[in-house]
Amino acid sequence: MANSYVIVTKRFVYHDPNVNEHVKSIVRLEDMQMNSKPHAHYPYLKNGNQHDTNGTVFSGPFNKNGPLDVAAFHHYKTKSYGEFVKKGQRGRTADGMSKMVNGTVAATAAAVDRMNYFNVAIKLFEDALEKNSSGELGLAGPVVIFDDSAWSLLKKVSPSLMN
Amino acid sequence: MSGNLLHNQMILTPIAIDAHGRLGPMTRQNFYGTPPPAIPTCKQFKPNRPNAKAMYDRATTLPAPIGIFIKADQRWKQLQAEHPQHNQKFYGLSHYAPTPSITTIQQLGLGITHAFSTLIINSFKKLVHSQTAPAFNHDFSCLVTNFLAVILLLLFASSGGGGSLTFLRRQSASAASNATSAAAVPPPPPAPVPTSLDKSTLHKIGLFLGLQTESPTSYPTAVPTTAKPTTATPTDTPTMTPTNSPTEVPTKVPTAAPTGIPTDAPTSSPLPLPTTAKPTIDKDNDDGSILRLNPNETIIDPLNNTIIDPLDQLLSKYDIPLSVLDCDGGKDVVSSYHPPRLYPNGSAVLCVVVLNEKPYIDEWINYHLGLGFSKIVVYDNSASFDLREWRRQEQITPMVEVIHFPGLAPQERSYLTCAQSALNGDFGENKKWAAFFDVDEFLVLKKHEHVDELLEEHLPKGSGALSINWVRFSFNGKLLCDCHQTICLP
Repeated sequence: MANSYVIVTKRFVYHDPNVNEHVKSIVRLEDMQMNSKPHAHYPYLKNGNQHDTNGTVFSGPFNKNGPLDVAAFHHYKTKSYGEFVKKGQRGRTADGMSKMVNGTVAATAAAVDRMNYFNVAIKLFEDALEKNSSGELGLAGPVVIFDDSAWSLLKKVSPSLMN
Repeated sequence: MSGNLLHNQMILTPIAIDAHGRLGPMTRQNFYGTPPPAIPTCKQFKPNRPNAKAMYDRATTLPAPIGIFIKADQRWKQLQAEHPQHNQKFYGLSHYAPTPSITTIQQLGLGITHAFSTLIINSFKKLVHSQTAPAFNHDFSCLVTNFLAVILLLLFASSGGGGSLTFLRRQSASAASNATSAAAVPPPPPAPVPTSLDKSTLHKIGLFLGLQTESPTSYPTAVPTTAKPTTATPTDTPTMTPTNSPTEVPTKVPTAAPTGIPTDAPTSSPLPLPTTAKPTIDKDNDDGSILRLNPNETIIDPLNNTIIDPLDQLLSKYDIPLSVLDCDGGKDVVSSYHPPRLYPNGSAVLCVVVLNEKPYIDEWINYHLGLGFSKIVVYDNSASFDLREWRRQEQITPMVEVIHFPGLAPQERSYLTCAQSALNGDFGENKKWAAFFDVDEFLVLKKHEHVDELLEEHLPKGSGALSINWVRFSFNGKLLCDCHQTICLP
């Protein structure tokens, strides 16, 4: 039986109106410091610098009002409510606190972290719902940007999806 | 001991933390330089304890460490000013804990949390063990541990900090309720005491703590379908007066019984668990939609120990019609392979760490292979190696490598491992770039057909790293299209 999966890029085609200041990075391998672990959003460099597609140099995980005309990261963080809750319940991988190693300190830390992250996730979602309730039911709200470019790209690179 | 410390010119700095996580006055002085309040007369050191007084004075005056956090922050700012070329905005390069003081207090808090939670979890295990034992274990250490666990749990619940454990309060109150209403209702069971927690309750604690405990065959029925709400006279429900508000039945109990526990509800369980209030959701019975929730995947809200049901909560809170649950009639589900165009000779490697991302990974892999990444290295962070049996299209199999990568802090470790391997040629020759994305992030090219074209233009030799901004897609459009739980079947 083939894998079944859900087309995320098709399901979500409205994004927030503003550029999110977070960035993710691609590094030139020979310029990367190989003796220190990269940050989740940017690597440490021994040559060159961290820059955006405009050539603007900055450092760290944020680039306020960064350019989107050449490339963008579509970030499907929340998806549906159920998915969001499930993700919140799972906890994060990034800080390593979500591991389930039963009977160890890690497990207890994971439980605590999962609870905290879960609570935060629920709160965020409730806030979003409060805002959303003023707009059309089931839609993102009054101020969103339609953008199906990721879905279009996926159809382009997987032509059989168009059938 | 004080005498020895005095004799050896040592300082003892006790770190006191109260039940609410607040630091004691001496610790606050050590950390933040806040002078401790004057010692009340009734708590002055006794005259026959001169060494204790001397040690206190020594620990609270220079050269004892005083205000070390403040000094560390000042020193950090000073170093930033002296070495602007380092351009480190955040201490430890973490924007979550950008100063030495915040970093330290976070680490301290984490350590304390570990210690307490370890104690709780070990005690819980012993409780579970004692439940399954044929007779109560009179071993002294077990007795002490059980007692300690109960005290901790009760403290946790009564402080309000451990909301998920508030069922203990409900349990006790429910037992009291049963006892006081004995004249009006059938004889109640013996009032439960915390040391004899029922199996379902233990399971719920375990669920909260992330333990794989034996699931009870069935939770006690909170409100059976034959339940009769007892709202007739106050004497029928003497214990559900407003003064018992902390013991109210969770809000998910059907509205047919809004004012209290039905008198003919099973009394074998002290806790009216809401599990059976919504035993299953199968919306296609009514409106043809395809959404189903697995009742075995109920999510417990740690705040108030109620079952979180996305549908139930949202439908009731926002009066949402069922029609929005349709999920486009399943049109978003792709149940056959859709191979992308492939570029095996490309120069970009994509590294990703995943945990429980199976429903999404096929689309994400196909998308980025089609974009031109020649190798995608998937680090599976699950303890049980969930992706071991992950079936991929034959043609993309050589271009996708799955590596079991359990353990803590996997993201940055895996990124470094991936980059080193790519540089060493482990993923093929001529790999020039490494990208570090998550499975919920899709790179969208606006002016290039191929990722190599983008990188040749914007990330030439010696140029470092190219960073690209996020655009966030929130709940829009498919707020309730819960496809993760619905139709993402293996």
